[in-house]
Amino acid sequence: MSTGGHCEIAVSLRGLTRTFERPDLGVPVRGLRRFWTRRPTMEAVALHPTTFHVNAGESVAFIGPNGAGKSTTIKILTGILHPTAGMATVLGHVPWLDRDALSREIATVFGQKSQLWYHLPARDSFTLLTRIHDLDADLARRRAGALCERFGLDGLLDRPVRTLSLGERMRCEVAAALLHSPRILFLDEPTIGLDVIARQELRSIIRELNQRDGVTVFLTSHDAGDVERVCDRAIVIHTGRVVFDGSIETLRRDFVRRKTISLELSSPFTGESPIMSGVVSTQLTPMRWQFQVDTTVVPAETVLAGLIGRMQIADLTITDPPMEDVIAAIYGQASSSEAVS
Amino acid sequence: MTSVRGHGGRGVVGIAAYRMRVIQAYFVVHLRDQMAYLGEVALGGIILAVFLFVLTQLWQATFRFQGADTLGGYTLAQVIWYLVLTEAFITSRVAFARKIDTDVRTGDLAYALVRPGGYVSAHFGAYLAERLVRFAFALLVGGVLALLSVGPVPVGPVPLLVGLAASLVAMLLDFVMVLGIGLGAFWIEDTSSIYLIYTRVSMILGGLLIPIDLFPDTVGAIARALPFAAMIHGPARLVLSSGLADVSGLFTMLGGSLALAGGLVWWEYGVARRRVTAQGG
Repeated sequence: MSTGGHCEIAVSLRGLTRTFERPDLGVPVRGLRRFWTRRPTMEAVALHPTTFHVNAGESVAFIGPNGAGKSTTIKILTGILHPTAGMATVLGHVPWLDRDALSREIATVFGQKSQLWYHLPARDSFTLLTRIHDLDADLARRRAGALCERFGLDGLLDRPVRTLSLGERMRCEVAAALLHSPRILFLDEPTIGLDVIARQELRSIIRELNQRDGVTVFLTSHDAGDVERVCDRAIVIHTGRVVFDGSIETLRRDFVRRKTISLELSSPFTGESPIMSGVVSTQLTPMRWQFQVDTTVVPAETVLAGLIGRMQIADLTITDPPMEDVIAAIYGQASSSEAVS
Repeated sequence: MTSVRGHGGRGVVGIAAYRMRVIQAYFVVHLRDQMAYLGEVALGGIILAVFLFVLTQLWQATFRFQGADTLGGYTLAQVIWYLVLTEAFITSRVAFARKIDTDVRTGDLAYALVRPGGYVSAHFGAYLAERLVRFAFALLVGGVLALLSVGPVPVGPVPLLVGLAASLVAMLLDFVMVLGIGLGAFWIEDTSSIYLIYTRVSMILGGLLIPIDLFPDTVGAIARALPFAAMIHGPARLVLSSGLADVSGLFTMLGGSLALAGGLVWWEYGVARRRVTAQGG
């Protein structure tokens, strides 16, 4: 099946499942028998039946610890892998049946795999990509010019890729990936190894592509900053199952049930440190206190009501946990569930 | 939006034309890439020059010892020029089986397959660029050395052109065989040993150092029955011959071997692709 054309849903998974056959190393095959005996295999589930949809123009973070099933999902969505069961469509194409057509409408950027030729100027790679995507030469030249201007690549394209910094190279990588005007951009760890400035630049480029050009972004990253600054929605996967699908705000608010209440006092608090179940208090200075509230034990409002009666509060803020902590918690859950199993 | 020509509706001819454009594009890029490695190519030329110098001394001693003007129908000058041609073919080989092996092992193959244009087309364009640069350079270095040591030999333009055309077909056959060996990484741990055997057998039975006409009868018959002689000995002998005798036999052997190897590798590639889509990179 391949319908192609425009559709509101850019990516759709319905019960998509992937299992692998692995040699069962627990069953020993010794001696000469190993030369003619087929080792027993066991089935490993890389992706449990998974269903989600991504609308055209969305910017989605697909996150989870190593081995969670992210790569398997992306490989299926880009047509590399066949699923064991279920169905997926990307821009109306069934990826594993219509890989060639799909590759003309999507782009993939892998932080650790370059698509530029190391010893050649990036401009040569652009020319090659123009040919392999079978683009009209004049239009591709104009498109390359526009991308260069937008990504600040002037002066970089004529230098051998090996002489570029990692940040400059990644800007060239993204520009090269966009040469054929893809409608979906799959990014796998695009900021890995970049310094702070280069990360910020790349994130703002991807964000702008999504917001200005309406390119659907599907990003996997272990970097909390990528998730927060590039995406509006997160899909969290671990041990092959989707465990969260919602907005970034909801993820931060609900995935880790913890709030931080920070207080600025108008006069020093001299009484006993407030002790409540589910609350850890820290005195930062005589005038500044911080309370970590486990909202599964006690609501933040209850804690706040208790504090207002006891302290002279000049200012207060209630914050959700930082994204780093959210991701660490997700990965922690995965580790503990692995340990249990 | 940038215009994508697409070739879905063009049929076989359209797709073939597209593939040719892709091969050409890879060829051009890798030709430029080769320019960045000219030092390495030049180093290969020095090694070839040393080889040829030693072999020239050996053949001069052999002719002196035999006290003959010709051996197996070859004059000393023809043998040296024969060595230039066969060495140019061998030293221009591109060991891309290792690259494919690595692609399979690291999973890069899966990512390469996502790109339009085709994995084999990409490798072929790159192979052709690298091979032709090395071949031309080896011919240049060897030719200068042969001119200095034994002088020119009479070569007709037609045998020269047909011989070079046979060399091109032989390079295509070599590409297919090396591709087949590289794809073997889907089934075996390391393909480098198979590549080593392939190169050594083809050198010995292809007549790299000694024209097959000088082989003992039985070994010569075995060598002629295999494609290696047609790849290495055949084109060199054709260039040095005065006419086009055996040219049809040479091209039949090359064409038949290409069809057979091509069919086998086509099947192997299909199975390999299914293994990628089944098990991932």
